[in-house]
Amino acid sequence: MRAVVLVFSLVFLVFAGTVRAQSVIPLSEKGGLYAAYVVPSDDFDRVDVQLIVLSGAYDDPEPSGTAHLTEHLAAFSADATILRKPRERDIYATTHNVSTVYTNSGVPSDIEMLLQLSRAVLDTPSLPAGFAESEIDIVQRETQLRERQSPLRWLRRIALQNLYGTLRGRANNTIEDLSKLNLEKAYQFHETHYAPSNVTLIVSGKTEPDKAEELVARIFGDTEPSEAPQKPWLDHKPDPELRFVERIRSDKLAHDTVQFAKFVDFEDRSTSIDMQGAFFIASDILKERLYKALYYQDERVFSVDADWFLAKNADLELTIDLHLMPGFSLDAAHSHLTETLANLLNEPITRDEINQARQAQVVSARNATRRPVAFLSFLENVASDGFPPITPSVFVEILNDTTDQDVIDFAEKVIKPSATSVVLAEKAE
Amino acid sequence: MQTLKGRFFATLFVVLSLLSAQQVRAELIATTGDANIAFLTPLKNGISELTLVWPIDRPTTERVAALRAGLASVVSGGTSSRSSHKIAKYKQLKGIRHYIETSRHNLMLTVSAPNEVFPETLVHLENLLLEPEYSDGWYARELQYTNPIKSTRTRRPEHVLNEVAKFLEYEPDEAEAEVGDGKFRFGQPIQAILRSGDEEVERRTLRLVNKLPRPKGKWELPFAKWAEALMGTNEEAFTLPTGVIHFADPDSTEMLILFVKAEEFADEADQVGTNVLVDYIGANQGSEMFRIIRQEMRAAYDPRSDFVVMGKKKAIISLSATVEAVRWPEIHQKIREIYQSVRSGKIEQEGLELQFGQLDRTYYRDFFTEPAWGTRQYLHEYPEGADGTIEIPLFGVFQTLLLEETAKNSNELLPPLDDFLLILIGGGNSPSDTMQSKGYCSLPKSTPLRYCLDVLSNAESL
Repeated sequence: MRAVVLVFSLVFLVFAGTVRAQSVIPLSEKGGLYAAYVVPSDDFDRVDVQLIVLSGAYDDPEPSGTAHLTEHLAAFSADATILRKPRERDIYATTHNVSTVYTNSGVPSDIEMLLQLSRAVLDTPSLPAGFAESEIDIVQRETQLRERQSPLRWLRRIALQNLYGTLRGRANNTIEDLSKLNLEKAYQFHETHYAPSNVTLIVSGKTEPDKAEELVARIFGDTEPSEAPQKPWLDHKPDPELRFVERIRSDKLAHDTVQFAKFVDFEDRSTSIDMQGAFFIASDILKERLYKALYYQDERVFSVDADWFLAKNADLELTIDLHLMPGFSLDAAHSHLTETLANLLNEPITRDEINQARQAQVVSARNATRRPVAFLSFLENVASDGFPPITPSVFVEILNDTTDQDVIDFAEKVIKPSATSVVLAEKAE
Repeated sequence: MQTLKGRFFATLFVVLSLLSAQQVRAELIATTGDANIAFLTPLKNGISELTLVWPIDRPTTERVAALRAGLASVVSGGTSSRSSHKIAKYKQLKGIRHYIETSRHNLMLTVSAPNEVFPETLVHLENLLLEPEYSDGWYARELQYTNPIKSTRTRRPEHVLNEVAKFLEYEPDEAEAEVGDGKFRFGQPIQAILRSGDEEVERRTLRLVNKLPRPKGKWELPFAKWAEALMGTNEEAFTLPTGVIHFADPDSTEMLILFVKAEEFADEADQVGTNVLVDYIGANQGSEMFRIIRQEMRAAYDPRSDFVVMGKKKAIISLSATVEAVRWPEIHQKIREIYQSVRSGKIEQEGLELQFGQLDRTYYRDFFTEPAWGTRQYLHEYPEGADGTIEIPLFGVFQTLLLEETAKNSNELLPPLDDFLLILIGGGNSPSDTMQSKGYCSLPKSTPLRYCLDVLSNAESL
């Protein structure tokens, strides 16, 4: 047995550090912003500024895709206004379902410029003549590209359109609406939704809280509070008796696929802020039971993926993608899935199971601190609903404060019959 | 290469052995000699990792897929005492991750976990490797995962390049090649690479490697066949054909244009220099392709370049854009002009420096935070293991590269674009006769790219 040791020194431009806990410091001098926070951390030699517009694709008017087009316009406008040399950095902006997030990152000495870039997103987009109009082409290219690259977006869209009985709000009609995208709607969207009172700011990374506070006050101090936009999609709920099934056939698919969507109305709740611990622990338990039955104990399923979305008003949307191995029929798989879900809580949830799920969430939270992008995603998660950001260490406290009964109640509610929509998609050569 | 051949002769065996406990005939992938063990600089984000490397006896697509699926089944499909679900749960609770990768001659398993649980991770790994019990159904599913995604369906540049990389590294099996039953065991590796910094973990690693079985039985596989592959006497040249591969989809409104070339470099400085130039052309929002094709022509969302390192001084270079089908000839021509312009030395120094800084940061970040990444670089440099001082010249280039020289030598560092293969997937007109003059293959539906890569390669070799 030979052992050799690699000892070499690398002199690179940046230096990493160790993993630590982070606190969330709310800022009071924030102009008209909905909220602003500093999350100091020495883990990485960088500063990140996340500007979160609390509106996203669910807030699209007709046509679908307007929030996305607005994101493009605001990002390029901010870059051109502040930098005048856009080639120096990457714009990192993403339109999510309920929010639009602009992330500006750099070394600690860049913090003022990063905040100015973020601030410029709130100004009415100002772009060279013809550029804004032609950005519609880019959004069309991007949407077509993503549609081709991820066929599940399309399947899920069909399932949600059938679930909600609409082409707007939590469902969308992105591809069909592409030709209708227009600047007028985008600028209107910007005016309504990029209002300071609909925006949360998070400064995280290697920065002194006092310095960050002073800069936020200076750069965002001139923003005025205004009326927050309406969120009609929050009131849009499907008929609880709905059991919709659609069959399609397509050569876009690699496997026969069952696409399932379910809506759960926690009608006795008006906010999900105090349900986060129960949500994460219960969804982990249910997911584990589901995967055990459908994947680990059944080799006819190629892969299974469950996605959980808990809205700020405590509506829950569960989607499941079931990809089948050759020879497993769509109808049999559909029956199997339906039966599995119905019987998921036949065995009562045990204390050990809850503790394991809690532990799994703790491990996942700790992992989020090991990579800057994962950490930013963690902060952005509940902040996108207009709640204060949760750091991994705060999340662990929330998990520990969640009672077993909260978890059991949540899981039982999810499993009760309610509106569902299923697409049985057959793969064609 | 002589050293490599000698070592393979001396130490490697791939044999069939009987597992007495289960009376299951399984193929043992192992060496009779001692594993070469290296301890690399630890990661900096609280993660430890161990990579075990086994030889690939026959670098064919079918054999490599079987080995990958076998290893994946061993580490996930269950043991004599734990179900597959219990294993997955344990990994989740501890933050353990497994990565399975292959190069032409090596099969690699990397296990990573937070430092505090890494000692028990090694015990768990030992159990997985020594007591695997997985079903035929589990293996069949893992085998499905290893099938490359048909890039004509997804049209992602990375999927296209994945098919191209597989073409470069592996040949199809001969018709009479033996097909195993999917039962594998993984014993003594040829290399073990640890990044931990914890002496207890180092001791446990040595113990684990020592415990892994070595072949006991006779050498049963035909020697010449696999030894030839191991020693590289049948090594394929690292080249792609030129010409055009065209998958026509008349229903599509988009067209993926992708140029690709397999390139070997004289030294590491040339490799990094070419990498920076390719990045200057198409990586990130500071690139020429982004500036011209997206921002000026408004023709593509994500025009890009890729530089995929395939081994020591070897890489795949690619330029690509997905564009509106009716405009593809115009954008194709523009990509050519951008490339030619940079190749002829029209380079803005500030932009080149920005790209170099970005590449430098990416190397640093990946080396210290991404499991398997640093080990991959080590294996490129030391495919047969290190003995004594270890140096990775590629990293040193970041301190010595002169960007002015890189810009000045762009004509030598960037290969002529006519030497690239052009892959077109989507709608729009067929390529012109002029474009087809260096070779043309129309790809049938639901067919892997390899079909056309073989057609064009065979035409060139006539």
